[in-house]
Amino acid sequence: MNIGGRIKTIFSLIGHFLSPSKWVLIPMLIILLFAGILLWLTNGLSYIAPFVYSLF
Amino acid sequence: MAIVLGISAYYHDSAAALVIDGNIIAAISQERISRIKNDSTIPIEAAKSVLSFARIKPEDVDLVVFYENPFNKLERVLVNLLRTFPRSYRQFPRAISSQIGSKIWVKDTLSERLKIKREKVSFTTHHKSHAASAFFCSPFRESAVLVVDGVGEEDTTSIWYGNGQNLKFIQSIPFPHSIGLLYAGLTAYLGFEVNNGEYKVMGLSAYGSAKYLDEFSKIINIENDESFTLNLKYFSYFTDTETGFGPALEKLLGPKRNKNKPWNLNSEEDKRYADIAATLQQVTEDILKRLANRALKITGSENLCMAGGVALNVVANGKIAMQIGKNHLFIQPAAGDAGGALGSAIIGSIELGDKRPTPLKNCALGLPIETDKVKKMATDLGLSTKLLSDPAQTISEKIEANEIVCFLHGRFEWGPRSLGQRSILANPKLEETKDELNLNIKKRENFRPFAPVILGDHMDKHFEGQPDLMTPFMSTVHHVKKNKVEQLKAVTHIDRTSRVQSVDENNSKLLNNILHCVNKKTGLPIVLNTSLNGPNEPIVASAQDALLFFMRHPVETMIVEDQMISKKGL
Amino acid sequence: MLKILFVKFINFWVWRNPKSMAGKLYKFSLAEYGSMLDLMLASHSTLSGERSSMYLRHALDEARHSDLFRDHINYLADKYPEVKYQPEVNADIDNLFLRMPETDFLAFAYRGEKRARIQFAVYRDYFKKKKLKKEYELFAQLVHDEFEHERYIWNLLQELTGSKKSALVKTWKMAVWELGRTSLRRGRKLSNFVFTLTTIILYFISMPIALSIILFKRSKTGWHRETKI
Repeated sequence: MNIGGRIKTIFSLIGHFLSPSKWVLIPMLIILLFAGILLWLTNGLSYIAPFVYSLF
Repeated sequence: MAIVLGISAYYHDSAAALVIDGNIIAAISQERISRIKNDSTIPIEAAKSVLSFARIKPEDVDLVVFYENPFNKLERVLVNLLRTFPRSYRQFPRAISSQIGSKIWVKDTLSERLKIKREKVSFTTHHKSHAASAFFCSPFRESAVLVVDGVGEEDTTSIWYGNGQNLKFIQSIPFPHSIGLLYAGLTAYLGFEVNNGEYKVMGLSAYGSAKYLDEFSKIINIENDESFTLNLKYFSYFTDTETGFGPALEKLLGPKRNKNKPWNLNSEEDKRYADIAATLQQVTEDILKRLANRALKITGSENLCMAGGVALNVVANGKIAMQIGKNHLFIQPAAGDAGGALGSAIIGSIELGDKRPTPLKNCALGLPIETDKVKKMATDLGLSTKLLSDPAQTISEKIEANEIVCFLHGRFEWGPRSLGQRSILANPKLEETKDELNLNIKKRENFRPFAPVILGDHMDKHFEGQPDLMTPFMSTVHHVKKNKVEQLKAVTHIDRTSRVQSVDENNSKLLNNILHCVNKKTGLPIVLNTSLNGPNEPIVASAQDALLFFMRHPVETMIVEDQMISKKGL
Repeated sequence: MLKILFVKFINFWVWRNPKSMAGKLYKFSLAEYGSMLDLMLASHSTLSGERSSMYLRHALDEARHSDLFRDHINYLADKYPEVKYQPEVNADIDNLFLRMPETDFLAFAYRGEKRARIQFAVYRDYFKKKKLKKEYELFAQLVHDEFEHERYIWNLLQELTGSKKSALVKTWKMAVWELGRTSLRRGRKLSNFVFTLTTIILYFISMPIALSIILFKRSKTGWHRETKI
């Protein structure tokens, strides 16, 4: 995975939603940010989930 | 002088297309390689196939153009999910997961998996890709372009003006008002699969009459400026992606049809569904004719190119052609989302200074069939093989004897139609042939029609019309002449229409020869031509696919170029 | 052994009525179709012409099995109104042949065929006991085919790995890999559940943003963004 490329994509996405003509969309960045974090965390959960099962 | 790869993916049918120095070199739908119908995954295998066909290394590619802008799409998806708050809560996690989990990273995914520098990957827009695929493949120097589909980033319908190397956006109708989604919603209501069953609705419509126009006037409103508005209470495509229609539609039209129930068009119940299909078809045709008129009027052009999934409605295309003149309408054969790959590759090529491609004459843009491989594998499977001195002659003999023949020749087709490269050929005279194909080979609804292929210079003797810009690609319908219906029972639909393909020496030499031989033997220069695939399978591409199909279905003969494969001795 | 006992134990529940039977057969039909796709990919991708034909022949069997299951569902649908017709089957491909060396793929396939043969034999015997002839014949045919597949793959695996011992080691390696895959799949199910739940909470927290969209960004109708030629 090209981390530099992925960071560029994140900046392009932020740029898209920060456009002054789309001010209504700016708060959506917050939703996207949280959803991204959730996706990242829960994807990680896939790998530790078998151990989580053992807790129950 | 540039090498440009166009990619479409993630929604319906993904594809890759390669344009070198302004020439279309290859174009392949991912489903043909992956063998998953309407495969929408990122078409890495298709992209690798077009590159290896042209012997191009990934690092030699100058530009990769993705057919739409993922950020604009994300914006539309997010805005609509929030606009329909709180009803869309079930769709929200799925939509967010697919958007930020994969779709927005398309530049990175293409770069990493194709091993092409990220800087070489760019985006265009969905409807521009469609418009480019239609206009730049057409024979017109200047033309109006009409794009009608479900939805792109935001637009569902758009009008463009093409002139030489230029393509200019004129106006559009945004989501959620969409002819494509109207048709898709009713497709689901009629018990067919969305994105795969729309053409079944079109076939079914001929069995009904448009009795539900009053009800439909509540569903869709057409304005004086030819724009249209859907009454959204009947639809649910932003809160339920599986069905697309809401309970209000069932209140208006009656209960939806049970998805898997076999069709019986003699029953009152199924006749009602056929009437609904007929009404939908008529409304769609009416809107498309109005949109076509508007596109011509505001651009001042006498030519029209069409693309987008709705442009695969061949019955509507035939009506539009009647209205504007048959040689003034061009439909790009892969009018659906796959076609966006071709359009985006051409856009990239022109941006890098190349000329627009020469008009599309032939759809054989896929990979060639490996005859030696088929022969060897057929022998390994215990099938018998025979080298033919004159394949056209042998095929015509079999057609005359009412045999059904699988036929593979050259590179496979671009677009959803079999045009003689991967086809099942049969005698068009007998209705039993149609039943045999529908019931035992294609295993599909018995109301579905089959298409004929005819020598172009004989067309007006059997059909009400001459070859035009669409007939080589099966993109329109013509009426069978009244006195010929008896002779063409297997390829005449109940409304006397036929999705005819015209052939001449320039667009398919071998098929042209076959039709000449058939004409000598039967007095008819016509053969039934249907796609070489089983139910819900992509059309055959490779040697293995061909043999798998042949072994699984009750067909006795398969002809691959000059090799005849048969089941004798099995 | 434990697995056989378990399959025997839940037989009464799996085959309790025609609808439940159709559901189970549909899952088998899907699995066989998916195997067919993977074997077609193997046939396309292997460097050996001989093995390409072998995989194609195997793919043909898998396709036939998928059709047999589907046909039996439709036979049940003819008899019992509660069973839905299944005109076609769609499955996804795992692209296994592209994700692992050919010998690993074979070891995986060998384990799958063996597992299926054992499971189908239990069903065959169950239907024989119940005197359900059609179902008995269906599974008897499948057991026979799975045994043939198991045999040819095992021979091929020994040939490609060089010895019986190396082939065995491969199957053990794949057993570990499968264990990891099963765990990951279970993990994904859990993570999908957590993601869905938390994202729905996020959705409802976003209500003020949703209201501002509803107020200030109404959906448009008619033509827009008009440009003159």
